[in-house]
Amino acid sequence: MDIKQTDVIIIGAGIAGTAIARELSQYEIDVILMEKEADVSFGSTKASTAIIHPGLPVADAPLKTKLILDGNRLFKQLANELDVTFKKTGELTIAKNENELQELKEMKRQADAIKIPEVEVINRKKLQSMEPNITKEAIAALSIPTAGIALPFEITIALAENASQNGVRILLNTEVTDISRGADNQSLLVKTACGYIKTRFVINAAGLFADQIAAMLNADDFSISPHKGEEYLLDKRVGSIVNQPILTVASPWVLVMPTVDGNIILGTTYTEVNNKADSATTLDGFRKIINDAKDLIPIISPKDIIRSFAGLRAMNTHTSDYIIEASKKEPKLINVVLGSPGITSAPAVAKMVVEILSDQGLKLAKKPNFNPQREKMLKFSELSDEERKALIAKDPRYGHVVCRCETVTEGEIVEAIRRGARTVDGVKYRTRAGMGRCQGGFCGPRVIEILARELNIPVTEITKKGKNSQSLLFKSKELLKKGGKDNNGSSKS
Amino acid sequence: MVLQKADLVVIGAGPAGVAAAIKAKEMGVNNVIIMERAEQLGGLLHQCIHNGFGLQYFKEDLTGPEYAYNFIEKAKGLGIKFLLETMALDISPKREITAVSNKEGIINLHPKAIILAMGCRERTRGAINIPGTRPAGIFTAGVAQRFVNVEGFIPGKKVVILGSGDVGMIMARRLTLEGVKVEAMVEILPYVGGLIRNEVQCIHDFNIPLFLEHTVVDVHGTERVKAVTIAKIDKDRNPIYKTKRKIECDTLLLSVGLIPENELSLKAGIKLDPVTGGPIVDETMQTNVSGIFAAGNVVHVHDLVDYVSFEGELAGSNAANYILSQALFPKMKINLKAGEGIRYIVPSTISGQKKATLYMRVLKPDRDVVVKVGDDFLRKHLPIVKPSEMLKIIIPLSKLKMLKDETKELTISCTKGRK
Amino acid sequence: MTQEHEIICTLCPLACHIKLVSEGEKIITISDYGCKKGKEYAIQEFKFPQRVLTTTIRTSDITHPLLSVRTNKPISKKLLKECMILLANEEISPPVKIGEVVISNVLNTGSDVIATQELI
Ligand SMILES: Cc1cc2nc3c(=O)[nH]c(=O)nc-3n(C[C@H](O)[C@H](O)[C@H](O)COP(=O)(O)OP(=O)(O)OC[C@H]3O[C@@H](n4cnc5c(N)ncnc54)[C@H](O)[C@@H]3O)c2cc1C
Ligand SMILES: Cc1cc2nc3c(=O)[nH]c(=O)nc-3n(C[C@H](O)[C@H](O)[C@H](O)COP(=O)(O)OP(=O)(O)OC[C@H]3O[C@@H](n4cnc5c(N)ncnc54)[C@H](O)[C@@H]3O)c2cc1C
Ligand code: SF4
Repeated sequence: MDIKQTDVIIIGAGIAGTAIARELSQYEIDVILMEKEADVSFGSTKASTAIIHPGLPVADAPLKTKLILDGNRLFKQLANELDVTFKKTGELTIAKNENELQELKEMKRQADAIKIPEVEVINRKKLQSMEPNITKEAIAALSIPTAGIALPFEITIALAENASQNGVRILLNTEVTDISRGADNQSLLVKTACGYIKTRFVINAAGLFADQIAAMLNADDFSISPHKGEEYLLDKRVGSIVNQPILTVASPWVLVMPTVDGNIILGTTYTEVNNKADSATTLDGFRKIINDAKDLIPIISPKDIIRSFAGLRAMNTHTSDYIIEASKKEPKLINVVLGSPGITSAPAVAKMVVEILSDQGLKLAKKPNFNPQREKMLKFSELSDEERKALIAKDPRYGHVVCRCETVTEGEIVEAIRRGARTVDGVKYRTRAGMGRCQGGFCGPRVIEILARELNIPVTEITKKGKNSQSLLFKSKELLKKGGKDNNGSSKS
Repeated sequence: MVLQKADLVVIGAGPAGVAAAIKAKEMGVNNVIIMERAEQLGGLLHQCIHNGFGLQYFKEDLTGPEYAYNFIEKAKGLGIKFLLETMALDISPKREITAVSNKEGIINLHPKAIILAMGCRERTRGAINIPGTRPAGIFTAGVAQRFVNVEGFIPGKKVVILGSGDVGMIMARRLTLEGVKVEAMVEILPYVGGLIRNEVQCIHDFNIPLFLEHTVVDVHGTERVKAVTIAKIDKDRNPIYKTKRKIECDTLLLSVGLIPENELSLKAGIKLDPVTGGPIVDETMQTNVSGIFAAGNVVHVHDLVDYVSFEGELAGSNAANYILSQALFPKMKINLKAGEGIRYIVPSTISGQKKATLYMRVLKPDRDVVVKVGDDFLRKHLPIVKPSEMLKIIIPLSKLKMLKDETKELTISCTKGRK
Repeated sequence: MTQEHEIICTLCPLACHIKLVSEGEKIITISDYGCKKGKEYAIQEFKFPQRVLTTTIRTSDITHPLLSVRTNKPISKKLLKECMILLANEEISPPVKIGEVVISNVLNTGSDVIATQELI
């Protein structure tokens, strides 16, 4: 690698890191985005339910409150520029008794005070007409039409693509293992497996690991505690049981919501765990979520679940607010510690980080040729028959359906790889291949084959999500030819 | 592109589809087309390289590919047209088919009749909610079978298999023979889910540890599977935590059931049976949409391919009748209802004008039972029944003729007893 | 010293658990079989258990890396593993017809390994 010096290194390619990278890519500076995983968005971001929150005040968190509200307002433009899906569905928070209703009214007052438009407390009848499957126990709901839904990995990938298009260098599989102060006292030295890179600024957007990054410079004493959120995804067949996120005053974590692709998410739990890699789902979590979801939408059935997963929220143990600031001890390190929610605020967070960098003395001149537009990937399933015909005539690989559940073609998979997918999950997040009801049962083998072919590497080296996550460990007969040692294939005599 | 006129389009070139096409062609239907999304004919049989096929149909013990070969050669000889690597995307209630292939692009067809023979897909981890992490190394047994038998890869060298259906057992043997250590086969029910022959020849023969009334309660490992935890379950299928045991492995195979593949059927407005997951069909294998028939695993999951072929032929001959002389179809007058001890019956309605062949599954294994049709209309003693082995009951025409005219429904039950 | 064996008969769905008592190679008693065929099966299983081996052989054709094969007659259960290792070192080139003998008289069993697929 020939990069030895740069202006800004961003650590972490979650929504925060990629949004910052993309924001910085409009200026004449050299920016490197480093991510330890094999793809962008593989941290907390991919598991996010990604409600684009309307910005109701969060207790003891003025910065968070402000940035969520700003983020919500910026989201539509961002989605347009990046050509990603953002649906302004609105959201409903239901109340089941008089006390809860009073709380809704208080929330409405708060919303009015900061001018969130069209917020309304609606009665049971209206609620029923908006959401026919809602529990009979709901007596009223707070309706906030400015809330929306998006896909966290779609935005993050789009941000990364657009940043890269505008000159940001993205280094995947690149873990920052140490940071030290440069001899000149003007710079920082960032260490990875490929050596040191000298940089004027480091942006710490390492999510769950932001405390470890800060500790490398002995800079700040905050620490991050992972809080698990489990989620259960329902088949598209029942995709219309709710039209917008349904929340409850009784708990900030419980929800039933549609996804932009037409599935339903049941969520979530909020459990502190002691391991930053613990994204296991649990039987207790499953039971709790099913019960909570049925309390909102009684017709929900676990039979429709096609997938479960869990994400970790990076909760700061020192404050419930965001930390977005130049470190007091080491001002060349900018900490960006979001916790949750952090999807909604990302566009506003990115703008704030640019201001901080400028305050710290980084000269920011606009690039004349910055292009904010990113071209979306073609989705065969969304095309008309005429468009499909034309596409297949141009490239027959679009006539080969690889994922039957989501109707994803070979052409799309090849394009995803061209755009940077290197793993089975990377292909999945870009194309939806493997996200349907058979969960890659049919297309998984095909995707592995196409990855191997396009990347020109052996099938046994293709991974699910990078590192040592190979799907197929051996070639046929390999275990037999190696001889007897770990070969227990003997038959009873 | 609009292809030449098609009289009959069969969707899926597995044993059901190929048998149906052959029959229809033999009965005089002109343009018969089989549409298949894979690059070869034969459906699942292609990867089922073990023997045990054809004992009923050919009275011979064949492997899957050999069984399929016999039919495919015949179909080719008859001039049936095959569209390979062609995936049906949509069927309308008016029988308009939209399909796509890389050679022909978008294909539109409007045949006089359609036979659905799309087979089934495997239930996945999500469908049965196995807690734990989501590392690489978790496969459904059928996918692993394809890798091992067709593509030439071995998923790992220490495997735990959840579910003791036939696919899981066949894979336990197959992997063991290939030098893999099968650490355990774990089954939630108190008995093995598949055929006894597979239990003996795939599990006992190779001393594979079998854990009945157990399930996987945790998966470990973030990149690749490192271990799974299994536990015994109580009456309500809750894990008993003190019986937990951790088994190191690099692969978890799931053999937890098959689901008929009916996304297309739903688009065509076809009603599905909630128990089988397949279309509700009458004795001619016709669905509720006129001119659309169905056969094989798309209707209900079979354990023997021979019955799939028979069912395909039945659908093929009736589709031929439908195309050639619509008027001859008798009215379906009698509903068949699953009573005590019976999970489902195919078909769901019969005319009473023809000998009726009923396929059904019982709810639980038992010895010495009586299967009763109607109150006391027909009864048959069976020394043994199992949910994994489909029951076939024939009601002869002479018997049906004795039914009262006003009979609208026959309940079929399976209860303990010798007479 | 006598030894008890339980042999599950696979000839019909009844799946009788047949009890066989032996002393060394000698069968002392057989009981709990449901029919004569089952009794013969149990004796065979005790004396010389045999299975048809179904497996694959590598091919030189990269688009079809494996060819499915089987033994045309059952072979001794004890030889299954040895046969697998032998086949693991084989590679076959097209064309191969279905039913064609790939290895004759494998491990001197009198049984041939035959192709169960075509390789064109
Ligand atoms: C269950 C759940 C539901 C949520 N729902 C919502 C919601 O509805 N709306 C909303 O707005 N927000 C929601 N959130 C919160 C949102 O997902 C997070 O706030 C957001 O994803 C945080 O993004 P991030 O970029 O800060 O962190 P991450 O996505 O975790 O990114 C950090 C990245 O840094 C990388 N990294 C770490 N250490 C290093 C290193 N040493 N070297 C290189 N790279 C490193 C990591 O691999 C990771 O990719 C939810 C979160 C969860 C878990
Ligand atoms: C692992 C396993 C082991 C088995 N072992 C035995 C055994 O030992 N003995 C025995 O007798 N039976 C056995 N069976 C059962 C038997 O193989 C199946 O019942 C039989 O293959 C089902 O036939 P089918 O034609 O209904 O479906 P399939 O064989 O599944 O064929 C369906 C075909 O339809 C195609 N298709 C689906 N959707 C579309 C679409 N939209 N457009 C175009 N094409 C489409 C598919 O690609 C497939 O080729 C086994 C089954 C399995 C899974
Ligand atoms: S012994 Fe006879 S009755 Fe018993 S299982 Fe064997 S064949 Fe059937």
